Amino acid sequence: MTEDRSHAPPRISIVVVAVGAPVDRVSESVDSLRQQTAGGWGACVVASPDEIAPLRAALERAGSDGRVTLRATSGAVAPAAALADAVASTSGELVTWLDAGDCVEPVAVERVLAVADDDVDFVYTDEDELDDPLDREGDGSPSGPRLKPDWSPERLSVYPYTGRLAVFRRATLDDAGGIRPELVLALDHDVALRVGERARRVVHVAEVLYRRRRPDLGTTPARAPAAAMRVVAEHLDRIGFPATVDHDPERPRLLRLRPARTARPPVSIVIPTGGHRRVVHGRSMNLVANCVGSIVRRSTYPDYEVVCVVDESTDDQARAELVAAGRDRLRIIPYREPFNFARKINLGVLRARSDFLVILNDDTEVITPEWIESLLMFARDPEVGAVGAKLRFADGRLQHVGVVAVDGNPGHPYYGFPADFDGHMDNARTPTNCIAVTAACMMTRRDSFESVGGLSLEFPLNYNDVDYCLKLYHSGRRMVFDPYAELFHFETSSRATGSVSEAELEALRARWGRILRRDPYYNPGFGGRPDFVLPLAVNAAAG
Amino acid sequence: MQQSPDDLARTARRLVTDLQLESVLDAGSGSGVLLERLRDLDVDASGLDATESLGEPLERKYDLVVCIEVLEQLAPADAEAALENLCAATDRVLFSSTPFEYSAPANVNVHAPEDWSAQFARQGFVRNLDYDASFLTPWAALYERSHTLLPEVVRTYDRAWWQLRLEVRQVREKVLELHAQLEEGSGPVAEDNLRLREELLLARDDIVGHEARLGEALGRIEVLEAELRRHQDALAGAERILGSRSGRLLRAWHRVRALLR
Repeated sequence: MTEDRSHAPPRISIVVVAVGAPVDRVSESVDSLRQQTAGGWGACVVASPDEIAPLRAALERAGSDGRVTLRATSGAVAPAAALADAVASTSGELVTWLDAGDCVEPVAVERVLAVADDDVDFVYTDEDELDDPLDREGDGSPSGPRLKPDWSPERLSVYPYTGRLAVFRRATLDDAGGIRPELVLALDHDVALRVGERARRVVHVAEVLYRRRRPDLGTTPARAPAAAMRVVAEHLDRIGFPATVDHDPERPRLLRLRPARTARPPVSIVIPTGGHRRVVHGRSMNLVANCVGSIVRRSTYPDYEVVCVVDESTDDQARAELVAAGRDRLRIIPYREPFNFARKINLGVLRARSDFLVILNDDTEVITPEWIESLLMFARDPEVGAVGAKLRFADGRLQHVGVVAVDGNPGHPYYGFPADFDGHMDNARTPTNCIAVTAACMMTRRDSFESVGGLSLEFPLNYNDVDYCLKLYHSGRRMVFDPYAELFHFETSSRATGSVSEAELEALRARWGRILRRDPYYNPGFGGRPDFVLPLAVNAAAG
Repeated sequence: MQQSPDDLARTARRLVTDLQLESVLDAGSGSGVLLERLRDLDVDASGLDATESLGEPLERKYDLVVCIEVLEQLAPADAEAALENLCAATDRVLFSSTPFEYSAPANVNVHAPEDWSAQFARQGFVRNLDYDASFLTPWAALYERSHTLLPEVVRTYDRAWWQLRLEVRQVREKVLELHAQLEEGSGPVAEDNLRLREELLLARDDIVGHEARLGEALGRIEVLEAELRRHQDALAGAERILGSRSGRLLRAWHRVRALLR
């Protein structure tokens, strides 16, 4: 054990924050570092001056190790300040940190160094939570794993999903302003946001490499702290995202975005329809008239038009009901060709006037008045290809919170789950990035739509939306699930289970087989279930 | 919202004719050009630097206080105090504050016009709905001290509101009508245009589709090549083992092979 060594700096410096922690917890963390399969790391254990002697004694009991140094803070400081000080003192090209008692897996350094190419500024891994990192369950099954998606900027904006292990390129961290200890609980989120904003590349290692000691009972805040709010607000400000931040009224431990009142560009809502009737809530109704009526009655957005692409066969009464519902917002485009859902939407878009488009099914109904504002706050960013809404069945259960691809099959996670289900790491309640969103309600920019050729006629009924999103993904854009825009989707159960065409699925795989087999936003750790639910939790959630 | 010296001269003339002013305070007077133009018109015009002095009560009264694009730059509590002090020094405030420019770093207190109206209402000031201040900015308003009772205020606002609503509706209907005429009038041309744009969409989709299938094929080639390399490596390895033994072993192998034939 030495406090200063003069040889080549390690590639990765690992800070262990020992301030105020019991000695044996610090030892657990350091031991997990000593068991690394790879070299190239150096650890800096930071503690207050009076903690140094007992720590040195404990660490030397395990044998002398030149890779581990002890650093004393100048006087009594909080753990966050000690962390900032220790990180500034390290010399590795990469840097990361552990809280005392947290452990890393033996392959952690090896896996991180394997992906940390020169243009990678940020690497994060999956993590788990255990009461005691050394006392695992007999079967080794993790008790509270946090299996994460690949790089998801919209998700990170309001939810610190990257967590630990988080490894940053030191130069980029310094450029971003380093660590701000005054943020305490929101410190990790702040660093992830600021490095993420300027990162050339962010890599996710889909493997549980970090085991976080479960916080003592009663220490998890029931309400997101003010620092968390400040971190998010500053991020929104830096990137010019038109939103303010607030507590989620139903889940105050979470934050939510609210669309800011910025300039409001015109929006065109395109609805293909055959003027059909269906029984909803026990009464037969004209779907499209109900849908358009809900838009006109509930939307707070001032500047929109509704473009309905209506089959010729639609009877006069249905047409009259639609006109009455849409009033001065409505334009009707007659459709005379053979049935093709994709073509109807393309025609509607070509006739629509605005640069922001909402593609909407006629069997939907608006719930949240600010739905257009909300979709728009994400869709403004030219890097965002399409934004999808939170869709519910008539009884409130979940119908759509984004699309995932598992083993080549696109599917809806949490399909039919309870209305207030939060999802894995709250991914049914907070904005997420996903590989595709359903066109039952989707906002997209006209320039995106035209540049990838709209909806493909190769998919007359199914998967034209998934194909559309994959075209956008292929061109470097991101999709976003927006949990704040909620609508009912009175999807018929027969269509959901029965009529999916094998030919259309094959055509989709012929184009996008590789992405569909490895959805970057779906963690392979879920083992092939379309829901982000570990087998143990399924019954509790869906039952 | 920068105004040129000419604009400011026009603004000064309008204020004097519209509002019959003798004394004006420009709160946050910036370059002071508006003050000069007002003085040219014999108005007793004074100015105040926004960030310095709005926190203190003012010493005298004015016919009008002008406050243009200032309060969005003060911290919320400071802005509230400033507004209170300004209202105490006059019966009329010509006010403007951007509801949009969140991204400008100095704008720490951006609000929609109705939020400012609510703040003025707390000081007993109500928007003069008959006065169109949009020559300043689209969201500028003249607030006046009012002793009117609530029912009367509601009547005034409601009159403006329903007339506007009616107007909007008529405008929208007119737009729809014009659009229909346009589509009808330009019939064949419009249809051609639409057909071409649709063909363009299809062609673009075709390209992306081919690119995607090409990517899939290349991916399969990569996988197959990797597999082939593995096989070849295994084969080469086996041959190396055979070749590296002494000649005896090799000869023995050949004999065995000969026997097997």
